[in-house]
Amino acid sequence: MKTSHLIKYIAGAAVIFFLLGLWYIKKDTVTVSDSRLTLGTIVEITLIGKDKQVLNDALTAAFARITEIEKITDRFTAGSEISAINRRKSPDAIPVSPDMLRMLTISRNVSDITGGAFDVTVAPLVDLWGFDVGGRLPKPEEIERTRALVDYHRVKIDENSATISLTDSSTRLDLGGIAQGYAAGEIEKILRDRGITGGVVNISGDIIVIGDKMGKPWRIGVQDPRNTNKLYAVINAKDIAIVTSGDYERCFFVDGLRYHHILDPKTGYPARGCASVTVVTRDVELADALSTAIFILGPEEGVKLVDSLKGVEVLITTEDGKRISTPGLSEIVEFVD
Amino acid sequence: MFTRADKILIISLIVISAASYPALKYLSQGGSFLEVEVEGETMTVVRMDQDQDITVEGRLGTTIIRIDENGARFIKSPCVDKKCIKSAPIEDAGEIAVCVPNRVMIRILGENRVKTDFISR
Repeated sequence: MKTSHLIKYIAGAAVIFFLLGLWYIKKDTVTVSDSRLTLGTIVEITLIGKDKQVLNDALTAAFARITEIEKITDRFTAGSEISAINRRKSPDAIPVSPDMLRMLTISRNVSDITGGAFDVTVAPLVDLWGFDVGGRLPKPEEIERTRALVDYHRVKIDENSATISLTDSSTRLDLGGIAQGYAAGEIEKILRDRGITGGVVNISGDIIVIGDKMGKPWRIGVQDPRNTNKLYAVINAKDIAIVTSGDYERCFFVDGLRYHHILDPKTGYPARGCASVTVVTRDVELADALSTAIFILGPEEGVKLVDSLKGVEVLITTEDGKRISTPGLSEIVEFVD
Repeated sequence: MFTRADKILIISLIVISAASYPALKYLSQGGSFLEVEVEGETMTVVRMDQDQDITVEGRLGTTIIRIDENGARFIKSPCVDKKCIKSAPIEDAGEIAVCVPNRVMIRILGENRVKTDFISR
């Protein structure tokens, strides 16, 4: 046989083996996913791996953990831990669960670095505006009176004794700005402990990406805040958290002005300046709290804050449609238009 | 070493092999479907290419979901905030819409056209 013919056969065989190899890798990979209504929203988990049983066991463990966190953080269930704390009228120390202690500690740290833009004592203002039941525009005097009830310094945390105390009897907590991120972080720990190397946890847009998708990054779309049918960016994500806060999810209009659910604790009114804030960082708990805080601080102060933090990037759409993204995102973000 | 015919043959084989996977996947898929869940239980799975209204009973009462040329959306719900009705229609595979108070969730099954895995909103 001539050498040239031999090379042709080898080349042909190489092509066939290459394609068979690709097919085998694809065939060998299993994807499992589940979506459930919990934490007052949709929780979606998708996992990729080689052993379906391992993936399904990990899914079961993840949803069980979410149920535990929901029992602690649901302010509208009488039997939850947060409801018990909010009913207390005395300034005595209250023993709290490790989950509650951790959420309040993260919240306090974010409150400190954002000058109080993020505040877990915002519950009275949230209730006044009533976004959970459609929303209403309160009178200025109502807002002023209620705003005075909000101050995170009134929550004293003692990590050594695992207790907290509320120094003012009218102080009430709302974990809406941290609970979903905390739950996503806890699920991430469970999945990684079980050896999961590819997957996405999506808790109502609070997303943690684990590993990649068969060698490629996961593609996470970011919704256009002024056109809910459109994405305005896609993030090519691997081992990263992506959390968005927007003014379009829960809002109402009075005289053409949008009133949304992200309330500025300092003014008592919906924060102005941003339409959407997407935080990209490694830590999903931090990302959740920061997206709310940056939205409240506004584009200018928000970017200054991000510049002062290591490993945190942000994508902002302002109320007047301007788009701002920090330099660290340039390699992973594709703008759609 | 390779004749022109050899090169054409090799390139053709590569192209046909590469194209066969998505082609087979497309042919076996047969269009998108809408899955309707109440309290975590699948109530029905219907085709997305036929205009129709689907009525289900949730925790609070009757929810109606409409499928038309815009996609699938809630058009009637007993919930107080009506957030489900205000939200945009869903039309791409993997997209989900929900009425949390009435515990109704709708999800589109099938292949994703926008080539994203999840949406941060």
